Amino acid sequence: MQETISDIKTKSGPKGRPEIDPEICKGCGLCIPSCPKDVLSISKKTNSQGIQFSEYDESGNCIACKNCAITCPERAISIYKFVEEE
Amino acid sequence: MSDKLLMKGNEVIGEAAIIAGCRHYFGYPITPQNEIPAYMAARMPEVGGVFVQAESEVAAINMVLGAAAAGARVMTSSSSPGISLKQEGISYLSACELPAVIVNMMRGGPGLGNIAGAQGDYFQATKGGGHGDYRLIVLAPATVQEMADYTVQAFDLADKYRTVVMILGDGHIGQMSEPLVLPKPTGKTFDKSAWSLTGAKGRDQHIVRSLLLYPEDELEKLNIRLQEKYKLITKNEILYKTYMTDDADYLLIGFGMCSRLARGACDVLRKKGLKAGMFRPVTLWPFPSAELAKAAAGKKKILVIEMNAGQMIEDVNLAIGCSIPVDFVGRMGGMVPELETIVERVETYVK
Amino acid sequence: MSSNTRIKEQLIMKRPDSMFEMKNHYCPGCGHGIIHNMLGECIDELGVQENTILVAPVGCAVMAFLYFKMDGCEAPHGRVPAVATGIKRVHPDKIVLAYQGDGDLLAIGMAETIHAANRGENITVIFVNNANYGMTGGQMAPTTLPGQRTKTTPKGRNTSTEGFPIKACELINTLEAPVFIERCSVHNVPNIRKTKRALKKALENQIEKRGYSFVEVLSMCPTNWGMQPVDGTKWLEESMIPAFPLGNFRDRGAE
Repeated sequence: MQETISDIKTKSGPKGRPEIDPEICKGCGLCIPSCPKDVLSISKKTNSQGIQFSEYDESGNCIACKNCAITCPERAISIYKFVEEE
Repeated sequence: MSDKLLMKGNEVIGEAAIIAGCRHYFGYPITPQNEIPAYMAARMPEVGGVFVQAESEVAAINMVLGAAAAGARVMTSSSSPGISLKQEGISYLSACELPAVIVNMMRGGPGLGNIAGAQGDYFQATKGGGHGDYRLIVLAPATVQEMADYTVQAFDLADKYRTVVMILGDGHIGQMSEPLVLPKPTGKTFDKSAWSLTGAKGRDQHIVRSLLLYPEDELEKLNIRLQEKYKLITKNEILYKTYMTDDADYLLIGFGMCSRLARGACDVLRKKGLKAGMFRPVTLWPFPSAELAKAAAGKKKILVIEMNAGQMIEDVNLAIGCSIPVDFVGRMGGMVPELETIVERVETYVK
Repeated sequence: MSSNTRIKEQLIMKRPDSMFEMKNHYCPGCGHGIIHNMLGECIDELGVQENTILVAPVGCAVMAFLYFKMDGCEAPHGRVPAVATGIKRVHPDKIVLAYQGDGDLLAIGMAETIHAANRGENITVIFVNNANYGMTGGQMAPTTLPGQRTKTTPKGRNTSTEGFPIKACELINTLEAPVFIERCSVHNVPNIRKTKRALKKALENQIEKRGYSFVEVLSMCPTNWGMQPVDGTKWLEESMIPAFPLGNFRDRGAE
């Protein structure tokens, strides 16, 4: 929980991923410009309220910087960081 | 008689509140009740209490709201124009079912009026004053002793029913010094842990609010609960006093200061051979309607005496169902009806 | 990645523990949600959730207490600082938060605002400035910018008849008692982080019984500004920040 972004950058491969709850997301899009890796966009799909939600492109380029979650007024986004075991 | 003190009405209210366990007072200066905040400013620190001179009556009543929500016994006091400013807060307190004691030492109105004692706020106190369907328990003391006794009682009533209780006095009683015996604490305690704001430690959150957006599921339910509470108060808490009513032909009715006039007039009229008695509502809300109807049965005439244009007289008429002629003597603008006027008026009924 | 290492997912950011898992009622792109989340994180980090009472205003944040696992109190319009004063004077050891909008704090509640600050009440005031009355549909607020169109300034705020935006931090900075005054913004990540730092300091001041702290947060109201959420962040940066300069005005807690 306390590791910094620079720790992750030293490792190769995907660093992490955002998990966006499409039912909580209101599709405001504030997360999109907050992302330094440009991995978020508004989906063509809609949630149960008919809202086009924000989605991760699954590119593996997420660096787990948390910017999108910080910016999200709903905190619809959780961030997972990938860490090596052993 | 070593227990007997001579104290000013307003100061007695302050001391009685402290006897009742009130440790939070929020007020704003206005004549003729300035002795209350002055007394509290000096006395509260001695008992470990809090006195805050608020920036306005509006701020004071909302500090009362906060303190009541936090679970404290709390009081504010003011006089007519200041009580008008507190009406919004009183409506919120009632909606949030918060206990609080509010003192109104009425002065001449409307508008800025003057600083003489008056009774022009009867409608405001008993019929609402603020917005929405709510009621206050309104106690009208007539002596300095009663100021003390009813103030202590007011805190218990407020806590028992989670409601606002108003002490409705006037500038005269507030400024008057009379001998009294200070009441003892009632010793009653009320558990506020189910709703008061103390921090959500080891329990679900408590919320004190009146914004209830769903008409049927929320706001009407609150209103029904409030009305049930008011029915219970009406059943349990009516207070009134009578003087020589049993054999009386004429019934004089007044509250607060005017009940003293009515009683004095009864004595004069009895000496003149006229059978006059007095009925005096102590709780102006709930109004002692049934009790008055009983006391008025068979009387020849009723005379209502008020220091206003005739406000309580409407409740008198409702109580007796217009079964007996009701007359009125009143003065306005801070004037007090004269005893002679009352006596002479009753004498005209015989002719 | 070598073949003998396994990758495990570690959750590093989620909804603050002090907040309920629920969708808020604010419009898409509204800054209130961001401010709530920062407040929730501060409360988590300071461990004061069970000791905090939130006083909510009349305005869009009227139900703010529904989002926090804390005790909450409603205040009549503008009276948050008075209600907070009442609570704090009963419970001097609890953390009392006064959360207010621009109409609540600077129009109808100006007297309560100034006097609670002047008494140095040991409370934390969070002032959300979005330059209009949001809940009632976008009318002129005391902080509406000159020329800004609102429902009640359809041709733009005319300073000759409607005056100029009131600067809350500058106003409160004229008083002796307050210990912390800062203006922040939530239009981008660096500023959201600064907002969180200011909120945390303001809460720490209260915990340490230092006195009155005031945090103004410039916030987006894209719905009533008539723009897309992302455009709202740009408008805030380009139009609001020049009128309401960001920065710390006073930090006696640090002295």
